[in-house]
This record gives sequence, C-alpha cells and structure tokens, in this order.
Amino acid sequence: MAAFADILKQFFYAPDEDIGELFKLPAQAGQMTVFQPEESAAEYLAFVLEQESYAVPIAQIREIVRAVPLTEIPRSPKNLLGVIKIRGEILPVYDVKVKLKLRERAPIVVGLEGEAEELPGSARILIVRDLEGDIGILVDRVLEVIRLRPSEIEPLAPGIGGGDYLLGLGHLGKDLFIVLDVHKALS
Amino acid sequence: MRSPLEAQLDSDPAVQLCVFRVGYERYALDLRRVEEILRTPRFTRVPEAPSFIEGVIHFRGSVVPMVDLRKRFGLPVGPPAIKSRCMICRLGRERVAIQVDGPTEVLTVRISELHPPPTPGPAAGGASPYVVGVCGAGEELKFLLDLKALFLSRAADEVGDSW
Amino acid sequence: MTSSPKGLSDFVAEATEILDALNRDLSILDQRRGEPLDPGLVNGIFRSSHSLKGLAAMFGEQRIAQLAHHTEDLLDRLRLGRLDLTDPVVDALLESFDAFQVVLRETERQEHSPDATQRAQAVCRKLAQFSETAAAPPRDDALDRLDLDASVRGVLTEYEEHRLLENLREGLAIWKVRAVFDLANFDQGLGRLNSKLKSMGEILSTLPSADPGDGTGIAFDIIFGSRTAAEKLKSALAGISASLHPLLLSPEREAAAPGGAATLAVAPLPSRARPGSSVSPPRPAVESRLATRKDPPAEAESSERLLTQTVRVDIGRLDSLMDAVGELLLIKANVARLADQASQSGKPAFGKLWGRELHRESRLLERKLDDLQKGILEVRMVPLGQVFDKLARTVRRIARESGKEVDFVMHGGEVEVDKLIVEALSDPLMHLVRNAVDHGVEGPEERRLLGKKPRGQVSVRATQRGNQVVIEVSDDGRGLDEDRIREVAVRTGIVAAEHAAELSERELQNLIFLPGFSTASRVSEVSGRGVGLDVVKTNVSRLSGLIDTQSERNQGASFTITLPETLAIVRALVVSVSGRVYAVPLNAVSEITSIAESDVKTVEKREVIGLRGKTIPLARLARVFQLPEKARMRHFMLVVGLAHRRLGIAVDELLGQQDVVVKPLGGRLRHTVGVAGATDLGDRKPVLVLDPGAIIEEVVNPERRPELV
Repeated sequence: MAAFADILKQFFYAPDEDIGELFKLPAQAGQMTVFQPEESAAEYLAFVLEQESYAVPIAQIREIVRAVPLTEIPRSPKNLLGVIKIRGEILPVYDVKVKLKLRERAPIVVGLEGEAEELPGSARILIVRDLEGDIGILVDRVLEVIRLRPSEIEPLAPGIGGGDYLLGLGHLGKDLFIVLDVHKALS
Repeated sequence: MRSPLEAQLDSDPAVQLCVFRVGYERYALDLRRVEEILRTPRFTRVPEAPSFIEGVIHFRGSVVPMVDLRKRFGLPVGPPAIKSRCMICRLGRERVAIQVDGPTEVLTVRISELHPPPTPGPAAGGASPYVVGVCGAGEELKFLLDLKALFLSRAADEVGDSW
Repeated sequence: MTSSPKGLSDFVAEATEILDALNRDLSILDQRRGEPLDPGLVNGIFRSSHSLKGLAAMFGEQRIAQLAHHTEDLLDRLRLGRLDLTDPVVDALLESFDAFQVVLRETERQEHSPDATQRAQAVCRKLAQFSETAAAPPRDDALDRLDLDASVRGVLTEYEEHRLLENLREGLAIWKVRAVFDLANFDQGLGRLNSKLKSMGEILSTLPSADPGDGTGIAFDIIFGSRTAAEKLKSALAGISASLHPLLLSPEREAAAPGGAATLAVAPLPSRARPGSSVSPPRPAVESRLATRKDPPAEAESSERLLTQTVRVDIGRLDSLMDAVGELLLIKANVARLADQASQSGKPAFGKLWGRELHRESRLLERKLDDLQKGILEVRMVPLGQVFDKLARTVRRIARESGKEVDFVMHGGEVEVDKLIVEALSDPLMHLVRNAVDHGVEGPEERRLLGKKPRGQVSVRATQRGNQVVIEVSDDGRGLDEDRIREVAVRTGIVAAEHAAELSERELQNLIFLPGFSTASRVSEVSGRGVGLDVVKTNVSRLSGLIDTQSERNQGASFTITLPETLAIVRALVVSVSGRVYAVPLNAVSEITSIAESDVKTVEKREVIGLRGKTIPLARLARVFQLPEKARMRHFMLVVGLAHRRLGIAVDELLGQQDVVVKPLGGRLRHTVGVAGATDLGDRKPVLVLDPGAIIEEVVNPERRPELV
C-alpha cells in the first residue's frame, strides 16, 4: 500500500510538485506558424420544443412522422408517452421536455376526452436510431436541416445544467440552437 | 513517520476526479488540476518542441503547451469532433493543455477506490508510463493519468501500436 | 440416404447453392489456365468442397461426401503450394464437378444407379493420383524474422503461414491493421474494410484482437500483405476506425537486407502497450483467441441472439404466397367496382343483389387472407436446429473453460417454430445450458468418485405435441440441491422456516424460478451475470409458454419448456377498460361472465368474488394498470389461470373476438409487465395484448403464501 501511496502522490495536485524538466518554450512567436484545426460542418435537424430551437445530428434521425394517435403503455415511466406503429413496427414515443426542464410534467397525450392534451397540428414524431431499438421523440414543430461547424457551437462548461445531453449552443447567423444528444436526453 | 498522504489514505477521504474519454477508454485526473475546459482553440505549432507537443495555445496571457492524447495513445487522429475538449490543467506552477475526446464529468470517489494498475503481461509490452492507477471496473474502468508523464519527452517513445 | 423428403429437399437446395459457386469458380480457373495461381480463387473452391463434404456427411450422402473429400484434399495441396496447377489438375477438377452434378440429380430423384456410383468412384481415384505426396518445400525461416507476436504466430493456420511466406517471398510489405467496430454492426464495417484492403493487397489473416478496448466494441487485427505505399494505404483507411502498423522483417544474418520486405528503422517499434491494454493479462487473451479461432471472428458472445434478421425460404412457399396475393387483387377490383356502383348518385344501389355480391366478396376476402396468413406463417417457421447449434458451441466453450468433459446431445433440431420464438428462445436456452454445464455437471474427478462416466451429458430435445412444442434441457449431473434451495428460501424470507420442511419436492424445485434466487455461492464468470432463472421464466411466459423442472439428486436435472408453435396469430378477446382497448389471448381465458359491483367482497383487504361456490381473487384491470376508474354497476369478468391460481379480471366492455397478430414489445419496452405485445385491430393505433400469466403472478402474489405451485 505504501508504494502505491507514493505513486498516487503524483496523481494528486500539489502546487509545489516537482515537474522536472519540462521543455522550455520559445518566448517569442518568431517562426511559429499559427494552426487552425480544420473543421467541417455537420448537418443537424432543427426543431422546436416549447418555443426553443433545438438541433440533433441528422445521422441520428431515421425519419419524421406525423403525430399519429399513440397507444399508452400502462404503468410506464412518465416520459414514455405511448407507442405508435410504423410499417408494422411498434415504436415507443418519448417526451424530452421534462428532462430539458421545459415542463414540470410530461404531457398525457392518450386517453379519454378530457384526460389528454391536444397536440398542435405541427407536432411531429422524430424516429431516432438506437441500439436498443429505434424510438420516437415528440416535438412541437420541425424546422429544417441546418449545417453547423464545430466552431459555431459554443460549449457549455460542465456544471452548467444540462449534464451531458446538451452538446452546446449552435450559432447560425442570429439564430440560436441548443444542440442535443438525444440518447442522453432519454435517460 | 507517515506521510500526510498515508494518513489520508488511512482515513479514506473522498476525492474528486475529472473523467474524460480518449478513444474507447476513460481517463481521470485530479479535479484540482483542471482549470478550464474549452473546445479546441486555435493553436500555434512550435517546430522546435518535441513531436508529441501539438503546439501551444494562448490562455489568459500565458502560452500553454498542448498534447493531443489521441496521438499520444496511438489512436487515429482526425478533425476535432463536436465532443472534443481541450482541458487546461495545472502542473506544478505551470499550465498545460490536453486534447481529449468526449465530454468531461466530475466524479467523487474514496481514496480506497483507487487501485494500482494491474501488472500487464509480456505481450502488452510493459506498463504504460502514463497510468498510475485505476478506478472502477468493467465499463466503468477509468485510468488515472500521470499528467507529468504525458508531457515528459522521456516517456515519449512513440506509442505507435495498440496490440 | 436422407430420410425425410423435407430433409432431402433442404439438402438438395444447399448442395445446389454450393455447386453453383463451385461452378463459377471452376469456370474462372479454366479460363485462366497458364496464368499464375489466384490464391483467393483456389481458397474459394477449397471452401466450397469442404462445405459440401460436411453437408453430405450430415445427410448421409456417401457418394457426394467421398467425392468432396477427395476434391478438398487436392485443393488443400494446391493452396499450400504442394501441388502445381497444371492442365491435368484443372481437368480433374472439372470432371469432379460433373460427377457431383450427376450424383446430386440422382439423389434428388431418390435414385441410386450403379453408373453414377462408378463414375464418382473413377473421379475419386483420379483425384487421389495427384495426392501422391510431393516433398514438402523447405521451411523458410522468414516467418521467424518477421516481427509478429508469438501468440499471433501460434494461431495462424498452415495455409495462412504459407500465404504469408509467399507474400514475403514476392517482396510484399506486411502490415497489421487494427480496426475497432461497434458490436451492433461490425460485420458491415469489417466487410467494408475488407473490400478496401482486398483492392490493395491480400488479407492473410483476420484475428480478434487481444486488446478488446471498450466493452461495446469489437476489435480485429488484420494481417495484410501489399505493395501499395504506406501513404496510400493510410489515406485509404481514413474515415475507418483502424490503425495501420508495419510488421518489420529483420534482415537475414548473412546478407544485407534486400529490398522489398525489409522496411527498416524509420517506423516506430511496435512495443509499448496502450494504457488500456495493461488491464488484461495476456494469457486469457491468447486462449480466447485460440478458442474463438475455430469459430469465425464474427462470434460475439455478448449477446446470444441470432444476428440475422433473415429467413431462408423455399421458393415454392413464396410462389403460393404470390398466388394468394394475386387473388386478393382480384377481390380488391371487385370490391372497388361495387363501391363505384354504390357511389353513383340517383341509382338505388343498395339492392339485395348488390348486397349479396358484397357479401360474397367479403367471404372470399376472408378466405384468401386466411390463406395468405397461413402461407406467411409457414415462411416464418424456422428449425430449432439453428439455436441448437449455437448451444453446442456454448457447451463446448464453457466445458473447456471450466475443465469439465461434457457431451452435448441434440434431438429434434428439425422441429420448426416461428422465427420470433426461436429468437426469443435463444437466451433462455443458452442460460439453461450454461447452468447445466456450470452447476449441473460435475468435474471428471468428482464423477469418477460417484461412479459416473467421466464425460457428463447435456441434452436438448425438442418434440412436437399437437400445436405445441416441448423443449427439454437436461443433464446427468448433480441435480438440484434441495437442501440449499430450502436454506436460501428461508434465509431470504421467501418461505417461513416452519413451512420449509413441508414443501413438496416439486414446490421446492420450482422455487428456483423466483426472482433473485440463486444457489450459487458466487456468480461464476461462466454462468453469466448472475441472471436468475426468473428471467428465463419471464422470457418463456412472454412467449405464452410454461417452464417446469424435475430433478433427482446426483442423477441430474431437466427443464421443460412448453410453447405454442406460433406466437404470431392468437385468437383474442377484445375488451375495453376506462376507454382503453386491450386484447386478451383467449387460450388463457377459461370463463367469461358478468358481475355486479355488489358481488365483490373483500378478504384481508383483497377483493374477491364468488364463482360457482368457490371464491377467487378479483383484479380490476383499471386498477392494475393504474388507469382512471369510473364507477360502474356491472363489469365483465374474465377468469384466467388454473386451479387455485385462478383470477378474475374485471373489465368494462366486451368488444368482440378476433384473430390478431401479436408483435412482442422489444427494445426499451421489453420490461413492461402485464403486456405481452401489441397488435393491429384495423385502425392504425396498435392495441396492447395482455399477458394474463404475468397479471396473475402480480396479483395473486405467491411470495406471501406458504404453499406454492
């Protein structure tokens, strides 16, 4: 244990730790060439949740369907709104507004008159690819496909709410898009 | 005479780790080392510096050397991905920067959960000079990094392989 | 000779496929006479013969097996460089193909003429001539000079070593490509990588990597020979998660290194481990490579599901489906015509004649749809043998890992079951088989002491009983340890101590299906993640099946799974509760009756109802599913379950009966309790199908009672 304790000392920070012979860097820029890492723009699908604009990498989206009537699953987690049938496949449809703190409670979109909320006509379900089986996300409105370069996405420092499902804030002209990791937003 | 660390170890306090991904593995640094996390900023190549130093970045008035951990660990390198991060870290009184994949998270663990790295067999080619310990297991395994070693040219026999 | 006509047609279909491939390759070989040997082509032909040999042997087709054996022999020599591809050799191969054709056609007609037999034998003799041993070429030590890890060298087959040597002799550079893929679709990624590499050189060997990296990925090391420059190779690999490393050839001690294979000094030494690889010690890595080397690298055991979503289908079945569809189109045309008539204004369209025509079309439609349905069901039927083969491999692996000697016996692999069921059975059967090897069968020493044969036996037996399929997994090992079961049951509070002694043997044995019950003192790596038999039971009930166990101390244990033949179509009762519609499989319902609110009584805070003199528990579906309830005077009650595990389920309305196609809820929905799947009742919304067994379990709550089924 003592030997490990020594090694572990190197791991922990101490302002007076011995850092040995770190190379010396030239103080002047001189012959240094500035290097801008190359970046390519990626495509994202933009959509609206409660008036806010979000974006998800397009590769994650399998297709977009109209918000057809859902069948509820009894005793399911609150964010599971129900299931739909797409070409014979039964897919679960989730709400992400609660996780994104846009709402207190997930909407109830199935049930008898008076029980369920009415969905806006523009509501759509995004079918997202997932290893465990594709899933649907209910959104208020789908906007368009946008292109963002990594430099156009402002990172959110860890600790600012959003855990790791918010990948950053995308700036496109004057518009702001919250870039989302859909899979993390479902847990 | 017990070192403060040994005394600490005996009482098993909690420490905070900053965990991040490089390739498929997860690594951790003492959170106190991490000063700031950015997206990869512009950096300046320095021809005279050792090859494992990508370049330097300007941060709060100082010139900070940067190592790309993917390169350091012998992984294929491409343009910075959306999740890549540049972590400004403290090393003694200096600052250094490391480029990693994947977002960062903070984890609180007890010292007793930190273990020495397992001894590799001959096929593995010897112990990694950068890993001082491990934490967690299986998918949650995190390698504790020796930040200094990442920046020392002595340890820099190109890690060109990944047997 | 192959016994059943069905088996015969399967054999002929497969054999024909292989012969087609053989034909193609042989034609190319024929055309390229005089040109240098294409190793890929020869290897392809070799593999075809090998498959044909195995296939024929399995079906007892001796003539074909023998022919294939000789062909394979010849090709092996060819590909190992022990024989040159001269004209006589090519001719002999072509002759053998003709002989195959003749014999196969005969077999198909179930004939066995002496002419064909003689012909086959003549060809065999001819082929054997070429197998007169040629001197083996001197073993070059070039492989020793190649910077190849000893563990990798150890697993290369003779053929691979030969190809590697050839490449070195021809002056190609040898590389190692390390690629990592997602477990979900590695075959695609690997396929793409392979095509890219093949266009630039020869793939010598593909090995699962000793350093697996992340748990959700699978890594390969591909040994690859090429003349292409490093830069070109690197750029070709851009975009794929692969890294390229040269394998250096040290110069021969006597002379200076010639050009070509020796690429010196500039490249870095491939010696340091990645930080990640220091975790796993090398020995198991080599062993696991050896173990998996027999199986294609595509064997990812982390999920035992059959990776394919496809089914092999008899063309005849497809033809009759097409016919049925054709007839449906006719009916559709007629219905459209009738609809047109009805929509024409001014005409008294809804006359009796019109009505009768519509009725007739409707009946025809029903019949045709029925036919179509049956036809599709047949297409979905798949032999259980598919799963059994996987089980055999698992048994061998686990037996090896745990040092036990186990024989695996399979019966009834030809029993066909809906593909969905076969897939869903994969995991539970795998689990049972693992248990049998891990906990059931004793080690050889222990067995000797007990006077048993040193080799244990695990068997899987499938039989068809009416429209049910029964699968039995049994072993001749220790049997269930009843004392331990009792002990664990008491310790975990499932059974009160005083009742424990009174439990019958069967009740005791069936305790093992309760959640969290594991008599293993530790979860061995081999038996999996400590997943209990309760999961097996749950999986089986999702298939509307039953599982039972029997055991004899020191003699062995058996697990019997009874399943409906097909999941797909179920006759269901359609009910509604709180406005929601559900389908209840009729085979689970023993009675339907109407009850009044006032008939419901309470006993110990549980609702019960009298049913012909007996009192049974009552469950309000609305309450079970936590749906909003509206007060009603009367309900309909469905009685489900058997004997003292009966339950009355109260619903609001009965909407009718229907044949429904049940789709199980997969993926994230698989943990839904009380629901077996979803179906389509005509409107686009899916309707949930109940799982009465699960509802009974939930409501009747077995843990509280000292008596168990």
